[in-house]
Amino acid sequence: MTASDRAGLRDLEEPVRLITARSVLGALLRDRLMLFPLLFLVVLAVTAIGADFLAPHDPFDQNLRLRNLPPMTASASETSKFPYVLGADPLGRDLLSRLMHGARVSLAVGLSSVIASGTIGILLGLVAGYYRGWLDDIVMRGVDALMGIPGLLLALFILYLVGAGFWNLVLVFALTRWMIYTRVTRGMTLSFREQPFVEGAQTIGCSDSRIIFRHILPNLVPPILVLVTLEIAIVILAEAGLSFLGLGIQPPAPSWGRMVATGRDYITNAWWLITFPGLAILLTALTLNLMATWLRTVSDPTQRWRWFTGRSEQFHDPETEIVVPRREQSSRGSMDISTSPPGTAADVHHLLEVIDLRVKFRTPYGVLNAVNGVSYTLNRGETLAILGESGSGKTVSAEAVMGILDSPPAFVTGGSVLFDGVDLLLVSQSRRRRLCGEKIAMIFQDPLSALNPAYTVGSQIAGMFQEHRGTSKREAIAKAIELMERVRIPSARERAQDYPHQFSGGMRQRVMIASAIALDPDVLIADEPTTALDVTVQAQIMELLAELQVETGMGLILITHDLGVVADVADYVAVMYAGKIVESGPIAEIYKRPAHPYTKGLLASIPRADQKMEYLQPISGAPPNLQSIPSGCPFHPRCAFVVDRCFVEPPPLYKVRQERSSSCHRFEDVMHAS
Amino acid sequence: MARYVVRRFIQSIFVLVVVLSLVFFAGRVIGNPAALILGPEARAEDVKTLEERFGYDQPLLVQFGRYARGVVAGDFGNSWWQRRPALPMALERLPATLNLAAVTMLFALPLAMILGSLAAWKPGSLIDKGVNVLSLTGASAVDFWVGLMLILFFAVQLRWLPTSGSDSLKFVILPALTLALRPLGRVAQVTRSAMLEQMSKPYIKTARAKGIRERKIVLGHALKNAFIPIITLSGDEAVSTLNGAVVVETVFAWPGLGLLIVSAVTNRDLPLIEALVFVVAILIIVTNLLVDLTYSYLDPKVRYG
Repeated sequence: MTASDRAGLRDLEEPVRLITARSVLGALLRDRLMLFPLLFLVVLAVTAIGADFLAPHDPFDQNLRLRNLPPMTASASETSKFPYVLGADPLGRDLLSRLMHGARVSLAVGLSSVIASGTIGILLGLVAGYYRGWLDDIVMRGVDALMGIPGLLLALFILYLVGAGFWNLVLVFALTRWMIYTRVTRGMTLSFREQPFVEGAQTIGCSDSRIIFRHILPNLVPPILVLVTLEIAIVILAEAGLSFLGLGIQPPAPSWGRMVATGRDYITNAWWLITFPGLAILLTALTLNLMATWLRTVSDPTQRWRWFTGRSEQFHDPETEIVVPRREQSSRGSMDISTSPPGTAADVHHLLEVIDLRVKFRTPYGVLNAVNGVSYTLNRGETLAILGESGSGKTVSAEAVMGILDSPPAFVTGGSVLFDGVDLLLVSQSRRRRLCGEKIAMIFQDPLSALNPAYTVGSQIAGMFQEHRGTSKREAIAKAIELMERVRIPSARERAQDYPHQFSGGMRQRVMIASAIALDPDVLIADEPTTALDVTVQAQIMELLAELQVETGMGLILITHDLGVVADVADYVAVMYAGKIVESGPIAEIYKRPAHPYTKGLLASIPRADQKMEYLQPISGAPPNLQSIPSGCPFHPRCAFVVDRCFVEPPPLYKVRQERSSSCHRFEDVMHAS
Repeated sequence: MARYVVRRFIQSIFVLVVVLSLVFFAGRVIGNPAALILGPEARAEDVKTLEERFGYDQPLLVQFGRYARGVVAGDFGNSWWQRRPALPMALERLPATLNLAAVTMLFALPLAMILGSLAAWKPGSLIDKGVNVLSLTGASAVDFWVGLMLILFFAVQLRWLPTSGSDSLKFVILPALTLALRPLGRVAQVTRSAMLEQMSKPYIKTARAKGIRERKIVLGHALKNAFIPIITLSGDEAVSTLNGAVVVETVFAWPGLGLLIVSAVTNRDLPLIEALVFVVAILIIVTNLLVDLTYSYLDPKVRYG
């Protein structure tokens, strides 16, 4: 997927940024399984609040006759007729009633602590992020220092100082758990600070406190809500741990952690004493963590995107069901594909022949038709330039030929790619992989990101020999150095030990080329090989590619949006628009007399030395939305030659003359106008 | 690189001084050591006698000078609870905790990285879902309870493993398993997202275009780059095992630092607490230094400035 395709995706995203009652309800309808954890939390809250009325027994009511009574033993005490459903503890108290009252303690500690630590943390984060400067420095130093200390140890030290008990526990958690809120709040405040709505509020003279609490804080609600849910779980777990150690909630108050500690002494003969309180803690923490994970996906569109890739079956599109390449020609059989007439495909033996290639992107927001029937041929020693704006499908079609599409979301939905007469879309994965690099190689736009930052350039080139030829590492490195010399990298022997980040842009692209030509491929696909480079270096790289092609006789496909780059080196040009080739033919002829208004526009928009030009003419309008490509001729909204026919009838590839074709109903008029 | 290490080392010394001073002043200003040891019902004159005996009645700065001299000499005073030098008591417990933490991490880290990589390789697959469940369970695990349930099952019911103690290798299995749960989930999750990030980078596309085998792309190219965030997290997790160690050592009666920390706090033993803070702080500093070193070794951009 190219950068522009991604930008297209981003535009389609719904701005679901806030957690509103509506969005939560909508998400609940989508993920119905979340009803169970939600229900559990409601039951837990009701139990905690109404424990006094709901508990079947008094949690402090001791009955020594019933010591360690097993669960489900019907045995009424003097005060209540209810059975001891979960059994009784070593003092004969009803386990279930104590669990219910324990829920109250756990939730109370959890909520109070989160309110205390959250208030401290959020305030500090807002202030640090909004005012920045020394205040920010001090606060963030404190956050980093405290986060480096194991929280439980810090808690134990504070508990040593202040002693155990409910409010001291809340104090401990307030002091040891505020940092994460500060970190999150500060980070978001910093970014909101630069947003237009905050700057606007500043210009109209809002006070700082008003900006912080009215404009910034409401935007922080979704992430903080997620954080609070997570933190309640953490605090409940920590409280249980401290109470288990005897340093938290003190007996006789019922606390789940303490109950497990009591049960520990009877582990061999009363399993229920530790099992049920532990399960209560586990389920509570698990539910809260589940809620937090889910809330994050509700509030954050990018998370939903991931949620989706996890279960792509929900987004199936009936039109693109067939992922296996189709061999039959497009339904519009009448179209005359001049560069590769359907009937002659088997007779004429081309090096590379792409026939009616189609690629779609399946995204949660709809299907993008990236490549819609592309055909071209390439022979040994020829250079074909594929020309088009970003988003025209030129990179995607090349990646489909290489078999390196990101799939999902991209799928080849039709066509064939014949290499030496073999359809690459039909051969096995492993055979295809072996062809990559060996017979067909590819270099990319940005050589820095296309090289692995963790390996030396020498070993990255050597990898080709090791993978395909089984060469020993030493020999492969020696060959890599030879290749580096061949692409004219100075002092190759020493530089082979260097990492990509130590090279200049042009040298990096030379490294890429060296590894691409390592095994003498028959075809080299160069995807915008000079776009990321300085103008002076661009010419050198193109020169190098042209030279190598003459030496090796390989076929070269140059993908570019820049006519100037290809003018000297290409033999043929194929111009792409909206995933289709709209014009193709020998480069000199097309330069002289374009037969498609889009090509004409492209030529008019670049400065040329060979013609007298009054001014540069940009192409009006924007590239088409690949989700809904215009009817008829996809270029008609931007076309100066548009007639009624163009709105409804998609133009076939008309044969203009020998080796030339154009998909424009008025190609003759266009040529005359040139 | 050497300069970087020296700078980190000097920073660490500074941090150590700050931490020890904070603990000193907090222990004497917020808490009253003598009153704490005698308990809430103690008579005022008893507290006073004790204060005089241990010198807590003297001006804070005088006390601090004595404390600082002691720390430099490795003398934190005698433990009140055991009536013997506090620092050796803490140091005696160090090997057991290191042993437990090492077994835990050696088990958890490789497994987590394998699971996380597999999850990233096939998002949405069964393993991916398993990693999600694992990290959720790790985050929700009640460590002391899990430990007890393991005892109940493997030691009490099946009688395969001992319940508690530390005499042989068999003893370390259950506590390490309990302790491993959290790092396992967290590291697997972070490995997954780091790998997903790396797998979407252009150099992966290059590797595919070069015809490199998928296994090599995942394990060689992507994992080597994903290591950087993984190592950072692993360091944090190694430090966090101290949290778990407090509880888990109590459950399994594992004679390490964690168990001693609980005893020191329950016995309100200030000299022992101060000695333990010293040992734990150094432990954390060393771990962080190791992480930094590994990090700079793995990232060529750091290594070659």
